[in-house]
Amino acid sequence: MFLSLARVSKLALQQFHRNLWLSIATISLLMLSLLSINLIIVLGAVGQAAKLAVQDKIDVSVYFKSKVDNEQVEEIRADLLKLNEVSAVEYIPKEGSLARFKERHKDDPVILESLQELNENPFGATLAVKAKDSEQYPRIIAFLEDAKYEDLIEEKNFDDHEFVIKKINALMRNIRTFGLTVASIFGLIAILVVINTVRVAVYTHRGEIGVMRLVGASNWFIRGPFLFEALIFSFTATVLTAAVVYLGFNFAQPYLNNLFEGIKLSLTSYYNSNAATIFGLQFLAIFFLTAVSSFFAVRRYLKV
Amino acid sequence: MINLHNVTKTYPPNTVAIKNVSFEVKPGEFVSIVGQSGTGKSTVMKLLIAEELATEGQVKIGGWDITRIRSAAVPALRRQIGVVFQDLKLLPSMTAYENVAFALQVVGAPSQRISEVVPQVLKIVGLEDKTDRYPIQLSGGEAQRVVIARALVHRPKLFLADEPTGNLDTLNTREIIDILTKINSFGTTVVLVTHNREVVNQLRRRVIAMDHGEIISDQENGKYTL
Ligand SMILES: Nc1ncnc2c1ncn2[C@@H]1O[C@H](COP(=O)(O)OP(=O)(O)OP(=O)(O)O)[C@@H](O)[C@H]1O
Ligand SMILES: [Mg+2]
Repeated sequence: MFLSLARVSKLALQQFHRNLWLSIATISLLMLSLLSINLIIVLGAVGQAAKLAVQDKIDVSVYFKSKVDNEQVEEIRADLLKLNEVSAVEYIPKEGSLARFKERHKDDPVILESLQELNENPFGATLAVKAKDSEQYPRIIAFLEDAKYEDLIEEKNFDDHEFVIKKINALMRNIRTFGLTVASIFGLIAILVVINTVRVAVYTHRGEIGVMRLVGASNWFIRGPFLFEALIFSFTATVLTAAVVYLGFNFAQPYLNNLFEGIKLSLTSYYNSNAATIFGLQFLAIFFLTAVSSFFAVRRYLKV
Repeated sequence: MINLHNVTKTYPPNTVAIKNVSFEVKPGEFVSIVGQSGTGKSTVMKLLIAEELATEGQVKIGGWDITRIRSAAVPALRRQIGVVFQDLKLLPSMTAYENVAFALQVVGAPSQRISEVVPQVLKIVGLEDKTDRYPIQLSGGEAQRVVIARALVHRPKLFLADEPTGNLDTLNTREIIDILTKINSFGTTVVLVTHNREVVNQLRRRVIAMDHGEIISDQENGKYTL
């Protein structure tokens, strides 16, 4: 068993070597399909980070009328916190709203002066509500639309961010579709190339194969070198892809650092923590692909 | 050893290579099959090693009905038959020794057995002193003897040779036939396909003559009568 394995792998290496250029072409195509898959993964991670960055900034700001006193607002806050969808509610009392306003307009003397002329604080308290998920905001808004709050609330705003999230989601969907299309095209080409590679290998080894068949080598022994070659192809393509991917990260990381304020996106550490899964699955997928193509190509050209 | 019963082989779509062929070969016999080109001699040989399957009739080897043999069982059959075919040459990248050893390697023979058997069979064909030569460094007759040695590695009970003397001159042809006779004298059944009148006439063994896919004569101590 072990002996046969050694002999099969020797034949496979010989086969790989004899059709070196074809082997390189095959591996390159497998790499292209793997790279496009990794691009989807990376863009997915970037998109996720972008979503988090935006989501972090989103809240529903509820501005209460100035006649509403702080205790009432505290009660509403408690009600909101009871909602499943709500993750946090920041409470800014009347005084805080005033201070915020002053801070925001500190360079605008006209506004500050007119504020001075009013005798009392014109602002009501503010609640900044954060949802657990960006899709849950509409329900929070609906909750606040209840008639019993109508008199108390001056204004609530939300829209902008939802739009951005929708945009990001749509973009990510498009990227994924596009990436999968590209990956499938490369995958398809890779299958055709593998089939052709096997055909050429069968042709260049017709002497050996003829002898093997007539002296009674088992079908698996005849197929072995081709399967082993598929293994070499897949393994090499996966390792080289991983190398290219990590190299790419080194170049991209400086740009990513400044991409989203507040969110640190390290692709390297994202990949590191998932490397076994990401590359393991990619290797298995591509080995499955090449092995099956090779299996059928051998059957087609060998009658085994 | 061999039993063909009303065997017909049709290659798709409609080439009838042999029709209703029946014959029996007993263990230890030496049989020559002769006939014009395209009369189905090679087809008979291919049926015997299940390279092709019969369209009709029954093919038995050593009592084993291989008419509808499963492809997984074919290797087991071939390990019992030594085969020398026209289109099955030596591998040019290997020496005589390696060519013979290869046939054992690919069936999973242990290295020890390989280093035992290979010199033995090369000795049977009289090439023990040229084992390290590449095919290109061997004469046509020598190369063919290596091919025969390779077919002997499994100590076959049945030896099939399809035109083993194809392009050889009289002297080399003699040598090859002598080796086949020697193999037969060890008790191995030999089936030889040949065009060579002299060979058949000198052998004085059984001759099966074929024409247009049918057996037209089958004689002990036969002569080449076409
Ligand atoms: N694989 C094949 N497909 C279709 N037809 C075939 C095939 N092999 C052989 N034939 C046909 O079957 C017939 C018998 O061929 P076969 O090779 O058995 O003849 P042969 O007696 O060995 O001839 P030769 O003496 O020239 O070797 C021929 O007409 C040939 O063209
Ligand atoms: Mg023939």
